[in-house]
Amino acid sequence: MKPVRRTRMARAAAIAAAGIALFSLLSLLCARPARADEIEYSVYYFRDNNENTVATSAFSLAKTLYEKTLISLNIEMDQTTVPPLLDGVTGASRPARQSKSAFRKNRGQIIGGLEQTLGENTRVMGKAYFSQEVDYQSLSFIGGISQDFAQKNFIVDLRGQYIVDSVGEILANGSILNRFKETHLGTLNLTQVVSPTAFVHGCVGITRIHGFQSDPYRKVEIATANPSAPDTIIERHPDMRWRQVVGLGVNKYLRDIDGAFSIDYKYYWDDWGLASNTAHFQFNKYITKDWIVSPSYRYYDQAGVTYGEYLGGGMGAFDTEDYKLKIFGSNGAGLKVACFLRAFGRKHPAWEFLNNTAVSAEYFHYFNDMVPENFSADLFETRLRFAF
Amino acid sequence: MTLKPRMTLSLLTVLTVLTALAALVLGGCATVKPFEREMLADPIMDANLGFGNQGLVDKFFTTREGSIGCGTSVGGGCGCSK
Repeated sequence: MKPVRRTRMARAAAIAAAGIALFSLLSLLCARPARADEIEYSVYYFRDNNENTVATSAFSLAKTLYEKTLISLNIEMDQTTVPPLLDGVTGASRPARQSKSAFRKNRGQIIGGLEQTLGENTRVMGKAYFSQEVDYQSLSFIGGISQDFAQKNFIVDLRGQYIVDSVGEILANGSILNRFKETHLGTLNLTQVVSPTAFVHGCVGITRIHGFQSDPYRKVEIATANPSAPDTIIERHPDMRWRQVVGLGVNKYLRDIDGAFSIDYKYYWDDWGLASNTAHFQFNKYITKDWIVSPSYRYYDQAGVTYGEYLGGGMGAFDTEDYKLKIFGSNGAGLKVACFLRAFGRKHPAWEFLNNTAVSAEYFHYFNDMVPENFSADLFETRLRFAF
Repeated sequence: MTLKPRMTLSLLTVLTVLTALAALVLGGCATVKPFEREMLADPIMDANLGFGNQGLVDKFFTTREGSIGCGTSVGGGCGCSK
């Protein structure tokens, strides 16, 4: 990594440490109603039609430290397996010695946070995040404030996030060439209770991404004077990108059938000319008082990137093989089942510690109509949550 | 690369619809007392059914699509092949 990048990351780490120290001080001075402490463990498995797989284990803890101060910790580890390289274009860099065999790499992530309520209706939070893998490093700081109005009928939540990424390329000699990227992200969420059985929510978000935009690292083939010997170069994108989103949703409880549904819509657009929208529908239903089934459907549609004004700025041509920048639509359907283990506590007093424990299992199938090769993936996730 | 937009809704249309819906809903809302919020706090009113956020699934969408923001996670590594 270049020294200047290290300096930036060190400075960002110092700012985060100061922020966390400030939060710690506030924790000792202020008070907040305690939220349930909990531990959650989840296992996630992903597989697509190109035989790429990702297996993830995650552990999280939320614990009240001092009356109204909550500390949170999240640790995540995953392993990605990419099949043998078939051509010069890949979504993950790899050592040259593994070009003809499956490439496997591990990633570790840790997130630490503090949350504090000031007075009765204001909550502030801060988090620091670090992720490391052989050819990628990410450091992030998140801050937020949430305010309840009108006795919690209206909630305003404002969040900001700063991310420093180091995107690596594994060179032929085994060394790693790192490239810098930074992201600023702001989100405003509004929630309004409209009746004892329904609330609506809206959001506005803006993201500024500066630096190396090929994420993940990827190469493209370009023509040369010799048509039979194309060259392979790294993707070329503008080094700045502004992205926006607006969204609206409604959640409604259906008393007659002991179920609830949620509908969300989001519209995204950016200064690369890429616009997209997504709609999500989910129906949650108690089948017994301890079991919930939850089918869902998601639709997504996006236009291809045009690079807009960047092409007119004399910045030259851009080359990309990024599927995220092409035209496609996608569909996804999922089924989640959750079980509250309080039934055991009702039957056996010795198991009352399970009264606030729940497990869930989810399957989600995703497919798109991308040309020339469409893409499909299966996602599995199981969770265990223990509140105490 | 030749890519043509295929979106049928313009941003202005979407914003108009969202604003109209928000005005309609927020303008007509009644005060809900704390003791009336039992159903609002039920796990089935939460898309995650009371579990933590769906960061892992959201990460998949972020790395496969042009969607980012409003709850979609950012970070989590390169997302290679996720």
